[in-house]
Amino acid sequence: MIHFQDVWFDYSPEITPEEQWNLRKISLSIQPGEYLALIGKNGSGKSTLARLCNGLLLPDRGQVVIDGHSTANPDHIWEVRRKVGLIFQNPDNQIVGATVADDIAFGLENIGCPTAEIRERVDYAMSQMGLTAFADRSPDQLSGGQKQRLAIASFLALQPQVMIFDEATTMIDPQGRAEILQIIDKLHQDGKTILHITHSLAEAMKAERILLLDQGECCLDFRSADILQVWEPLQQYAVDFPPMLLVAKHLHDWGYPIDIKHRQPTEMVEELWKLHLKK
Amino acid sequence: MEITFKEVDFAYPAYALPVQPILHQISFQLPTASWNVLVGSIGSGKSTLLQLAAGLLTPTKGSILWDQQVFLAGEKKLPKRPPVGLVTQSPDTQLFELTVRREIAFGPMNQGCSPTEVDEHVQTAMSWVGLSKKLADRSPFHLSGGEKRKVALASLLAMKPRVLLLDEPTAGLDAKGKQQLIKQLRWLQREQGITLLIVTHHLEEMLPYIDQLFVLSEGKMAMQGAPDQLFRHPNRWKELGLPLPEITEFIATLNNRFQLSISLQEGSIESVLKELEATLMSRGDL
Repeated sequence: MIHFQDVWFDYSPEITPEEQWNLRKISLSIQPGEYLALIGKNGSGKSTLARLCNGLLLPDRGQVVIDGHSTANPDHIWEVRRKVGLIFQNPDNQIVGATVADDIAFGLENIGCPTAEIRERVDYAMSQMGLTAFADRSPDQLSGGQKQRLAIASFLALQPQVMIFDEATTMIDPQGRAEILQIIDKLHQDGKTILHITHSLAEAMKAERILLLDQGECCLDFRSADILQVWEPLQQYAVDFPPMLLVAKHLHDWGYPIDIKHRQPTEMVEELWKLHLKK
Repeated sequence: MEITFKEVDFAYPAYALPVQPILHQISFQLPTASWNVLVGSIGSGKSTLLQLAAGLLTPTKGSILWDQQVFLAGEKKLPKRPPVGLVTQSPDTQLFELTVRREIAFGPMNQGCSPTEVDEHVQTAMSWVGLSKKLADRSPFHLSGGEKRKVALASLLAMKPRVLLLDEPTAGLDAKGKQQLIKQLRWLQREQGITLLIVTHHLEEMLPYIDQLFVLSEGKMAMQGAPDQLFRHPNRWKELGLPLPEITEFIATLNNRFQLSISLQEGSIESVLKELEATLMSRGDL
C-alpha cells in the first residue's frame, strides 16, 4: 500500500549537512489493512514522515510509492491524496466551513461527490463523532476537543483507504480519546490501513506493529506483542511507558509468569492477587 | 499572586449561541505559589475559566480579584493588565514572529525593557523551558508541535508573570519533554513563587505536586479540594464521566486488596511497587 524506498528529506536540504536531515534512509512497507503506530520524540520526524505519505511533502532522495504511484508524479497526486488521508495535531489548521455540517461537506464537494451522497456521508460522520447536535453551529464555538472531533468527522466522510492520524488524540479528554481509539479500531476492522502517530505507548500498543523514529531515522520496528524484546532500547529512547505495562514488566522481573500487555488497573490487581496467592 | 473568584457567572454575549451561562456560580481561591489543576470533560467551560482568570474575559456576574485587586470586573476601561500569562491549547495561535528569538523578545520589548534586558530575558526563558539555543534563529512555524509549545511558554515567561495559566501544557510533548516541563513548572512555583493553574487531562503527570484540584462539569464546580481527598470518591468521578488516573485506580484497588495504605497521590509506579514489595516481604509473602 505504502512503500518508502530509501527516502531522505529535509526542509532546507541546501544548507543542512546530510547527517542532520529531518529524515534519513527511511525504507518501510505498510501492507493494505495493516494497523501501524509511529512513535518517537518531538522533532524526531514523525509528522514529516506522515506528510510524505500523501505527497504534501516530496522526498529529496528515494521515493514514496502509494499503490504503485510515486507521490512525485504530478499526474497521480490527486489519486494519491484520495487514497491517503491525513489528520493533523491541530484541528484549527483544517477547519474551513462556516458550520459543522458545511465543514464536513467541503471535502466531499471537492471530490465531486453527488449531493444526496454528501448529505448521507455528512450525517454518518457527524453521528460517528457525536456532532449531530452541533450540525449548524459555527466551528468557532466548539471546544478544542469538539474541534478535533470535527476534524476527524471531515476526514471520516472522505473515507480514504489509508488513514493517518497525526497525534489526533492529543487535545481530547480521556473519554474522548478512548472513543477515538475505538473508532480507529473499527476502521481497521473495516479494512482500512491505519497509521497512528502518537507519543503514548499505551495508544501505540493497540496497533499490530510499532515503528520508532529517532532523530530522523527509523530505529525500531517491532510487533507490539513482542515488546519485551525491545524493552531496553525503548527505555533509551525515553518512551512513556503506560503504568500498567510497567507493573507487568516489574512482575515479570520478579519472576512471576505474566504476559507483558496492557491491562485495566482492576484486572492488573486481580492478576497480582492470584499470582500472590499461588506463591 | 493570589487569584480569587467570587460567585462568578459567565455567558458569551447574546448574539453568539449558546446564551445560557457557560460558567455558573464559580468561587475559589488560588493562593500564591500554589499548584492548581482544573479538570472536566470537553465543553465544560475549562478554557473559558482560564480566559477569565487571565482577565481576557469579564465576568457577567460576580468578581475576580488578583491579589485582592480588581483589574477589570465591571469596568469598561482597562486600568492595567494583571501579570498573568496564558498558554492556550494551540500554541500556533500565539506565534507570529519571524524567529524564535524575536517571538520571545516581543513581550519584554513591549514592556519597555532595554535591549540587554530583553536578551537576558530571552535567554533565561529559553533555558527555563529547555529550548535549545540552536533554535533561536529558526522560524517558530518550522518547529515541531512540542517545540512550538515551549516557545509559547517561553514568550510568556520572558514577561515575568506572577501567575501561569496553562491549557494542556504537556499535550504533544514526548516523555522526556513532559518530565522536563513538569520539573520546570515545579521550580517556577517553588523558587519563583509563581501561582499555577493548569488544565489537563493527564493528572498522572503531576499528581504529587497538586495542592488543589477543581472539577468542572457543565459550567459548575462539581468538586474541589486536595486530590487525595477527591480520589476517595471514585463513584462521583464516574458520575461526572471522568476517569481517575490509571495509577490512582491501581493504588486504590491495590490498597483494598492487599490492605495497604499507599497514598492516592503517589505518582510513580516504581514507588508503588517498592512499597508493595516491602509490605509483602515484611509479611513473609514474597
